[in-house]
Amino acid sequence: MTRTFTVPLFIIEEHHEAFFIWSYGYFNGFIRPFGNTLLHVDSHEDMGSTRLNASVDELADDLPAIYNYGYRELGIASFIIPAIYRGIINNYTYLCRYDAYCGKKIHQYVASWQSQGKYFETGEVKPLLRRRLESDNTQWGQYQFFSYQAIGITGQFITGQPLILDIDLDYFSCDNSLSSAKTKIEITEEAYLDFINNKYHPLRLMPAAAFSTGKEAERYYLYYTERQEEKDLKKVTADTIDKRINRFIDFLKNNNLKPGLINICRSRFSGYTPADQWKYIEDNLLAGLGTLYNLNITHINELEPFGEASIEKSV
Amino acid sequence: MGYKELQNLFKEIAQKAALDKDYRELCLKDSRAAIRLLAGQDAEILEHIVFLEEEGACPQEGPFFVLPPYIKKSWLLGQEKE
Repeated sequence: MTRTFTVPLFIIEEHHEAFFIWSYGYFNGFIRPFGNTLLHVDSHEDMGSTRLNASVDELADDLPAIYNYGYRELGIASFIIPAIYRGIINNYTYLCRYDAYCGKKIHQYVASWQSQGKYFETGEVKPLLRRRLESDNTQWGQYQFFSYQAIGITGQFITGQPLILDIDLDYFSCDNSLSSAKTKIEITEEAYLDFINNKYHPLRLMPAAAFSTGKEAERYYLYYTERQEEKDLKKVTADTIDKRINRFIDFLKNNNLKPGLINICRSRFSGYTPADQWKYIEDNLLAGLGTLYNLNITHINELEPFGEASIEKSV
Repeated sequence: MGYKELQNLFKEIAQKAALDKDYRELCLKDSRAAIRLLAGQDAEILEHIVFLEEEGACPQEGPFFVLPPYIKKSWLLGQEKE
């Protein structure tokens, strides 16, 4: 592969921003508005789905609205399903491991509850799906199809569709304990007392005991700690990061991949990429990618004019 | 045709190709005709699309769109039309 291929590369801070970047990508002709292949390079699949307050179907061809929608509605692990449902992606390939693993390609669908574009169901395409697709009497509608496959870094990968190369820096070293993330917010004394005195407080009754409260220097705080791993379980040394980046660059080279768009997610505020390593990983990854492509790099903050409107939660 | 309209059009094409064997064959044989059948004769489709049965069985670059699998009728739902 010669280094004559120019590719736009967008740096984002957290992964839900990818939804906007992909939209920006088809508005600017880097990818298509439909039927792209996503190569997701990450320590996490990010294929979660939560109920949205505002329908993704109501989004018009309006970049500022899409920008604000992403911050308002999407989570850092639940931005891909809406993009698939929207039609932007119909091939999801997850580069997940450092060996020759190659999972079976599975044909899947995503549909929305009462065709509202807010709550989604995904499943495997099977013969009985025909009955639902042909029925007028079903609660699910607006079906979208996609293929799912997980592959390892020595695997083969080919696509004839426009390719989005979606890289999270935590693929190269990950801190699933989120030890560097600051996830506390100050609350009133009244709210603090309400929490500690009520053993059935709704914020205690979560799948994981994620919320707790505390008092620091006469001020009261609500803490959020997700069900995460032990600290530094998947954090690796700089030497290992170097090896992983080299292997990833070899993967791109060996498969002769020519992405229409690359986005790199730092994941430093969420804490998934270790605070003391994200810059090292990013610099070395960009250097590696630069050996393959002429990179036209833009940070999402440079597109900030899109974000002038409020991102407050709409109800 | 706007981006959202294109997204909706290809959603419709994919679903029809998953259920209707004749339409699927038209997609594979004459993509322009298949697109126009759902988009309307006057619709302006900027890009020539080549529909594919499966990813991989194609040259590396091209304006391809991979169709979802054809969903056969199961024995529970009646016989498949030949």
